[in-house]
Amino acid sequence: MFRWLRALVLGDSFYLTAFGLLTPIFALFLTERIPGANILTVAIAEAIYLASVGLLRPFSQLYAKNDGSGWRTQHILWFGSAFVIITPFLYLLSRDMIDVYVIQLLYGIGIAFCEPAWSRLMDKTCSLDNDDVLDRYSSLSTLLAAGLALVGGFVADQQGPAALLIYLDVTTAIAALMFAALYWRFGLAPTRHSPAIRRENTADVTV
Amino acid sequence: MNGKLKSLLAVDLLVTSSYGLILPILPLFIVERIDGANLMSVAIAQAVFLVSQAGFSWIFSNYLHHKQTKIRAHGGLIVGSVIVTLVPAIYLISWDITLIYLAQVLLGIGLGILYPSWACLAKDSTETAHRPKIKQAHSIFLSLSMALAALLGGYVAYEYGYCLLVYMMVLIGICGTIMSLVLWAGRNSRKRT
Repeated sequence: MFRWLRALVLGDSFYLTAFGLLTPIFALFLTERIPGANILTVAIAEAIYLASVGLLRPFSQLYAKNDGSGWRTQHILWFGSAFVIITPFLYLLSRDMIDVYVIQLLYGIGIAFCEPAWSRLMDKTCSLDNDDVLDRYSSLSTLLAAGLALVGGFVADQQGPAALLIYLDVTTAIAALMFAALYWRFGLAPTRHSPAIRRENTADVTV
Repeated sequence: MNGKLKSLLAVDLLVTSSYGLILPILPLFIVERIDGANLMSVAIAQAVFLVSQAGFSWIFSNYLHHKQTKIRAHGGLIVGSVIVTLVPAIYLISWDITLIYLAQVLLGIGLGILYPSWACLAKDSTETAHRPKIKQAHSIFLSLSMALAALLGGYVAYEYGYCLLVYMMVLIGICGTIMSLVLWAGRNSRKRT
């Protein structure tokens, strides 16, 4: 039953996370469109995104910890998804590198907020101890990202960076909405590691 | 955390940081240095890398779990580190986009061999109870080291040019390879005792 769900969760989460890092348009878009953008400023923008994800990850995980019903995780997923969806649109409006730095920070916050929901869905749909399953689906999501990178490059080459950003915005919105729907359908119940289930398991063992 | 796990984490951080130095500015590097390179060729290079990584990761995972898993994982760690270390040199001598595609395929092969081996050895050297905490800490440190690498890579490329950046990548990759060899040597010494 959960076979397709695993693929969707992994594909969606990888898409949401990897597009900022892997898309080939980003560096070229900045140097073409933003005055004063160069190698150093592009690298600073990427570093801001990665640092914000790395620094906020422990806090978002702490916030979603021991969330028995899953509502708190759903709320930060909504906020995170909203930040991720508006990112490509904000790129279209950016005028200088300070704007880009702020957008990268917002994008990092969005991704850090989406991650606990992804972990929760993964926990419910497949055992993370089973590396074979994880390897298989991460290969699938990498292939998905490869296909999307190619489509992105083609659109940018043929129609220009603005068309690509609109394409990014639409596809990211679809992915985020699909992910939120999946979480709403399958994520709002106790997981194997949630306190209620853990207490039940402990009670079974003691009986 | 035991010594073997620390060495494994060091290998991962070094190799990923080595590649992370050029990751955000790779499109600019390709467009500036290769004649005729455009947005489409950069996208193809990225797609080639991802397809190669996914394919080889799958193949090597199957090879790894067949038999003699630990020996194959140690070998994979060394071979993967060596390939990832050599790829920046190909970037530097490339004059045609075909060579960049070849470098991307090689990088995919290297990471496709390295990551399953690394995951196998890391799983082997952590207790099940500690695994989620170590995974979390690893992901946080990896993001921060990638951020630092991106910043450093951009600064070096901007101030001193791509040559020095590539030398730095090779040097950090060599450190990662040496750590893989140390892990291999440690495995042999424990076997003797």
